[in-house]
Amino acid sequence: MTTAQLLDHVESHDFAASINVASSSRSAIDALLASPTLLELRDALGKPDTAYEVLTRVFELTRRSVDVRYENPNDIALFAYVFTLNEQYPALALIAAAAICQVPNLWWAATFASEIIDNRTARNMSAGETLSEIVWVADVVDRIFVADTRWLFSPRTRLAEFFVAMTPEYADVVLLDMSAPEWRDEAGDTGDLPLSVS
Amino acid sequence: MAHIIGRGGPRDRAAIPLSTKLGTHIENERRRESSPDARRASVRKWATEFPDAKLRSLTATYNCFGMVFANRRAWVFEDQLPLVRDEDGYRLVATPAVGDIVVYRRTTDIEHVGIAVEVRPNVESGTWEVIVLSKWGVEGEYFHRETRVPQLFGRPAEYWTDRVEAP
Repeated sequence: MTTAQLLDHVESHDFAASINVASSSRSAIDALLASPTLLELRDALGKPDTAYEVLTRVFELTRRSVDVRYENPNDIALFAYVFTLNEQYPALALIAAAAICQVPNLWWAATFASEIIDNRTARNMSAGETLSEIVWVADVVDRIFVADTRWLFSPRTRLAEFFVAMTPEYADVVLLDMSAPEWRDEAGDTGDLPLSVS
Repeated sequence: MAHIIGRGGPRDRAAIPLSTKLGTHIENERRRESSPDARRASVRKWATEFPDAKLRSLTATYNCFGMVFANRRAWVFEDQLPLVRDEDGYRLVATPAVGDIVVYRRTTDIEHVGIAVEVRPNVESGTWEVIVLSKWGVEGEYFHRETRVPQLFGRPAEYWTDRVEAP
């Protein structure tokens, strides 16, 4: 199966139905983990090119017009994409999650995306000074604001630049190497990845 | 669901007023309907995989917990089940009667619930054959034999009742 065929299957009603029997977020994740399609997607994401393709697909789906009377038909596909990205590329998953949070009428995808963002915010808050640039918290700490990464990262140049930063041999080109002293000093042991794109 | 602040709570506009017999709010949310295309695909998929299950209704707006504990009005979150069980006075029974609740588990957590709609003795095996009506997540509401469910639900593990005996 080619990557395009695999992604088409992830976006199919048939795949959605197999996950949508779940009645809880834990069950939905279990259904996803038990799916052979997810295993294929996980294998495909071993190639960085595919990770880029999946993130691009997330942006396409989050920009797509849907019938507002109904649940977003791309809910399960977005859920699968952000879930698998989060396993291997947490920084890309955060960008995907921020895009997903802008889209109405999602369910599992929105639930998982908010979890990613919430966890990231909590880690950032514990570190004190290091809020990521796409997630920030209001003073009262009861509202979380997320930048609309669909536009922030939409031009291919931006994505490509970000992607280069994920590759160690090119990291110094954009000064986003995780081992850079400035970043280490700021992020401490929060587990945050460098997200700023110059 | 704690990561979405106030989700399903009394101040959530997507939730409806819903409470236990003791008056505690049950966290819930009204979920949107699936598109007609998605519902058609759902019918095809489950009719192929479970040809003996009979579709009763098909809407995405509530889940199995919502069907049983909220009269099909909302999606009830799974972490509300201990509250509902305790405050609505459910108790375990060894053999179900019509109207009792069939609880499915894979490991320790509750995965699924349904209502027993038919209970008849199986003389050959010395057991009971139970027909259940349950809602399969976002998918349809089906009449099915109690063990004929998607693998994700696990197996029928216990029966709950709130029956009150006549004096």
